[in-house]
Amino acid sequence: MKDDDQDSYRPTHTKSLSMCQKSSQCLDFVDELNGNATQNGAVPEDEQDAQDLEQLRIHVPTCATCTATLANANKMVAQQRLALRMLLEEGEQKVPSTHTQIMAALRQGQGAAHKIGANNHHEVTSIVPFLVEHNIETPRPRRIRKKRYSAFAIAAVAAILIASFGLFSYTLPRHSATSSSAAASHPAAPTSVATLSTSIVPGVLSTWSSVVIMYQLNGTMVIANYDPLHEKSAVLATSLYAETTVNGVSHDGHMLLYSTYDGFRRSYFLYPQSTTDAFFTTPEKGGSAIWSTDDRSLFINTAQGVTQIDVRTHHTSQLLPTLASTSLLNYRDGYLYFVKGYQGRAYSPEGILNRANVTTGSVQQVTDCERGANFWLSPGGIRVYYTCPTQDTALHTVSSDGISPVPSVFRANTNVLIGYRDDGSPLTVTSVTSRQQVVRCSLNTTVQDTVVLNDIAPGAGTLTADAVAVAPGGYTLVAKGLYGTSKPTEQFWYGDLVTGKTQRLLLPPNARNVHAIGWDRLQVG
Amino acid sequence: MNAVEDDSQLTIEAAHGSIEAFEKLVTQYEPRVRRMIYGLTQDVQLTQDLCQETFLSAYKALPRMDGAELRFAPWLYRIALNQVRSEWRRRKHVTVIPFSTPSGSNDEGFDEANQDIMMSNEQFEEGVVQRDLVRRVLAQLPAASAMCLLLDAEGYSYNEIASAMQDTLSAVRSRLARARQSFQRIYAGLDQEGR
Repeated sequence: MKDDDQDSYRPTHTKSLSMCQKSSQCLDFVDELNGNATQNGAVPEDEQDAQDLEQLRIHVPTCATCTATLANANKMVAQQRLALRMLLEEGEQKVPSTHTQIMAALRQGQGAAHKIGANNHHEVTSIVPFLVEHNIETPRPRRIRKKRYSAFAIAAVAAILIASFGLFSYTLPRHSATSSSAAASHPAAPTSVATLSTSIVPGVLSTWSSVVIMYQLNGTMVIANYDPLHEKSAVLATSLYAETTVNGVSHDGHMLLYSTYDGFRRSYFLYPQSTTDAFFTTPEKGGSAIWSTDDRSLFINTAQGVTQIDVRTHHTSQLLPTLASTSLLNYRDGYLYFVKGYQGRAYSPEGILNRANVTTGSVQQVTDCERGANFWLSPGGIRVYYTCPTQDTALHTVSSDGISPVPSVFRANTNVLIGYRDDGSPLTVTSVTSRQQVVRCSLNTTVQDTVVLNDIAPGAGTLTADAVAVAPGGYTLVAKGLYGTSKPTEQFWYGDLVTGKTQRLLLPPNARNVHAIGWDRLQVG
Repeated sequence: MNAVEDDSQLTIEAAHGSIEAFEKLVTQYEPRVRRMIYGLTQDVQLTQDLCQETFLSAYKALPRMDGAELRFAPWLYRIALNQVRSEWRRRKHVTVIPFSTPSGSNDEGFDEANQDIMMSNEQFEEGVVQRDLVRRVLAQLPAASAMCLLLDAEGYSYNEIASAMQDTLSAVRSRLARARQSFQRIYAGLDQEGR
């Protein structure tokens, strides 16, 4: 805003004029007095208001103070309206239309009203207008929220907890150069198929030393592998589609599943096997996908049900049509854990957790909170942790069959679960004054919980849970904090959960909206 | 803005179950409701959720309404505002970690792709700053006040706003006046902080 405009937004006073008791009334009736009654104002409905207005109409022309007050108020109102209209217009551009989803829901009947995925928490769909001309979609703000949920969902974290977040590697050198070059070398405009560029040379490590990150760089979505200790990274893939999702890293840390939505279909890619051609597509925006425990299969859920895909042969088989449009969270011991979205919402991470026997198709309800969230399966697969935000702030637990032991409060005021130590003890983030502490929750009632990291992102105004990734074993993590309120900047931190020390990390220059997906065992550089 | 007359026939037909009529209303009002909700929530995904739920609720409730008497737009905004309020009430019990700032930083801080290109445009930059300040101001105002300001900016009359807010004309007039002053005061304060 220009200085003169900014000045005009400040409270207006008429210091050089005498006070007038009717000045405040002028503000109440500014539209009527300004002649906007037919457009914005209205004829007063009660007698007192009508009298006041009539008196003001007589008074204002004779009062310099009220005349000045009214003039200032008119200017203020006009500027506020203009500013608000600009904001409204921006909002209309930023939020994709829900018209199609509304009508589809209505036509499918009331019962299915919410099954249409207008609000797929796994997607980003916003388009910034000036980019449309270039046919480039940009990641949506919603990404953060989505990742917040998915980062804490069992599915996304099967990888984290069992020691499995991985990609494979590539040899592209260093972050800034690689990131930029990858973006620059990409085709200018996407076609109807996924537009991806990849640069991978496998190099598997024995340690979980790097993290899969996704960020936005000049309108391009970049998936990269980042080594926090050596502060180096390499680009794995780039996509011009804003709705690019990293679905998860295989349990062995060697493969990555991700997908793109081009406006017509969602295409799934797999590193390193299927990096240029999608191995599976579905004609819808939504979907959820997870790895089998042995990494030999993928389970992808669509509006038609679950498709099991052999990672090696790409052979597909259809199962469990009753799970259509639910959010898959984990596969363990023959059971698919999935969330029935709250109020029937498609692919929602919030709702009631169930599990389905893949062989028999029988379904068991695991949790009873209507709008449960942040589901985590314990490393041994016998217990589920979750929150029930509509009920309380506790971290709840229940057996994975939902029967015995019955649901109970694990920690009354414990916050968000972010992973596990290798002994199975949950790691949570707890807000203490202005700090976000990482707490190791004891499974033994006689042993107290311990703080393993005093401040996960020092000095941060906010902590984005979407970007907290605990390494398998629970000894290190990376986390993103936001700094500043007007236009917050992102800052990543490396946390050592043994020594309690943190280290600020460097990220690729100009990277925005960075998300930490999970740890892997791929060599960087 | 007086869309009642234009909408009355569509409203009557929609109240009698005509999806085609309702779709025309959706076509006309969905963008407005969408941007209004976004103005209040500054959350893209939530806006989509609530927008969809607003229209589905409206469609469900229409048969119980007198289509001939119903002023569709204010009624629709009333539903939307109730959706927003319900969501906020729900979230009061949810927030554990301050994932986002009141200004909606989760949306605004990082979604400006190719922002570098635009940064050379002073006007654009100023607009971004202003919109950021405006949304921060709205976030600090009571929901009803923010709603009043947004409806007023949309061009709705006091009567229509009163109908949407289920309030009297006098109350709306006073609320709007107070909201404008609060807007001014908060804006000036934030603006000063940013200098």
